[in-house]
Amino acid sequence: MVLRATGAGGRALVLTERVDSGGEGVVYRVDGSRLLAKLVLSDPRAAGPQPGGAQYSRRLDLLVATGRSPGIRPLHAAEPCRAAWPAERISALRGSAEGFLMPDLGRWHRRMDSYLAGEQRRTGFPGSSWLLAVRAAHALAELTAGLHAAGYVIGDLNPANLWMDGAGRVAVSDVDSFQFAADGQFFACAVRTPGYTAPELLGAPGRHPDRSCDGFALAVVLYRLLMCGLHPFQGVPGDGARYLGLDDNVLHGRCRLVDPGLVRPTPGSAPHPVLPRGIRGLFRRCFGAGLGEPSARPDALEWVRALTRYQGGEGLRNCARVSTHIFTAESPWCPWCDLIEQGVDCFPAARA
Amino acid sequence: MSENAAMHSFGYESRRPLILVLDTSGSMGRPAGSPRIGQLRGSVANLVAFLRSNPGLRAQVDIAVLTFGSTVREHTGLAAGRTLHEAFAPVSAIELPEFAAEGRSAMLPALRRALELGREYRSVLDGHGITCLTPIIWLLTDGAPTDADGALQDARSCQPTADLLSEAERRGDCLVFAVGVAGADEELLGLLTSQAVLMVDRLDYPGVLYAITASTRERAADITAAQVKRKVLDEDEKARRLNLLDGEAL
Repeated sequence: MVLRATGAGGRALVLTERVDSGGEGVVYRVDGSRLLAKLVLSDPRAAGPQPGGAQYSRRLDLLVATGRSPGIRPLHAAEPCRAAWPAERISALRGSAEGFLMPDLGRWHRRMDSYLAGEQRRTGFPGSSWLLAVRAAHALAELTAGLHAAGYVIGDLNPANLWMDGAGRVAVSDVDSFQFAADGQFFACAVRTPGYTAPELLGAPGRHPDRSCDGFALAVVLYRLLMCGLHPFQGVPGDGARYLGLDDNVLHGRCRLVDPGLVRPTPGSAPHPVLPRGIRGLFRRCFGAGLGEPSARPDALEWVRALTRYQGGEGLRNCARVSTHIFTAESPWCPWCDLIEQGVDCFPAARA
Repeated sequence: MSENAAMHSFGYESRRPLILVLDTSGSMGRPAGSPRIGQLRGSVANLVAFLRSNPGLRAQVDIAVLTFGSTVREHTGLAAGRTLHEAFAPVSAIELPEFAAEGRSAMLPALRRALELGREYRSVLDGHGITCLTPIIWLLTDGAPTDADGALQDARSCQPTADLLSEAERRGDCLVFAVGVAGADEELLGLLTSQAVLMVDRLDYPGVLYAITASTRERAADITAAQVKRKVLDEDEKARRLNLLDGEAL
């Protein structure tokens, strides 16, 4: 199946294989190009921020234009690319579908949610150690800080929109859902993902995310990276209540790091001392006081500062027995070897 | 493989039970040239492939398969030793059974067993401290329930099962959906699923895939079961719209 589309200045494009399709659009390969094309069906009657709505075209125009600015260009012009930034507006089906060309992040990265699942981490990132998680955490905090400094709120920050490579370099997709203001107009992000939505947005459909909402989602993703995939609000409630989902645990403040009595431990999960004390303190602040008080959450820059020393290997130790076991120097022994005794090998050595 | 190792191989995320209740009664063997049982197999195989292609869902969805003709068959051991209940297999490791069309339509006992299965699995996981999201039941059928003698059942005889399922949904024990094809009784399916019915021309129509996948996604805290059902059925509409994008082939 192929589809004709039109790019800037009437340039003819041929869209070939579908590589992804979600609720809002379809992503295609482009014949003769390394870029991908995302198309959504136009719906000019829709006044909201959703793809295809009246505001969507203007949003794309502005994103394409700001993509050439000195602050944003390095994110997508250098390799490996760090953002699937809209590069050029396109349309198809005589204007009834619109979208954009963007870099193909799959050329350099894998989706981050594949790193967070044990079986997929082993196949997608063979022989990786905790140092890779630390480097990816640092890179994600840095990327988020850069976008915030440029005036963007990611809005739907979650591992399905994030990508990483074997060196811990990170990239973000779904740029067309970013929230920003430009040209006297405000472009909201209306997309939310359970488990990554700040509590003040839950039950408040008209409220827009801000940087502190990104701060909550960022801390959740960083925690998952550093805790082998475990979500900070994961767990069967300790009071006998039924588990209704991550959002419900967030609303009830059920975080084992903040209060171990609130949720039962998830079998095979890493103990919190795998995290250096300073990092643990930032997570406690975000998921404890920061739950009801967004301004108490660490911002992206604070995470960058806290993670910088570790991403270079400082403050870490190597296990004497297993080459892929790297852990905080604050721990007197290898916590990953302890986990193996429980039947869980978070960082298996690569098979020859 | 230890229990911890078995669970951790898929990550620490909540399990998402998806119970497929598949009509394999005699009518599914028709029409002779292209029997619907073949579409059914293709639809389930496409679903498994689609779920596996998404890293998040690949790590979370566990599938149980119930088929019904004259009797209900629970397909166990579809990924031996990989989960804590023999009827459930992780989508990453499931091997689908072969289906054969035969007999009458024990749809109502199959739905009741699906409800029990979801409750059993959730209870087992809960006992191990593993979080489990609401079990999702999908009925795929071309007909209507019959009694043991093969007589079609009417709304009155379906009502007790409909009440059971509706009460289970209210308690958060499950969400029930149906896909009806060809001669399926839309009214009865609506009664059994609190109106969550997708009527299609072919069981391997892509909208089925999108709707079932959407139903397995984690539900936000501020959305009701009825809203979830509406959103899931809207996925089909979106799929139909997005398929228009392929309408201008060269």
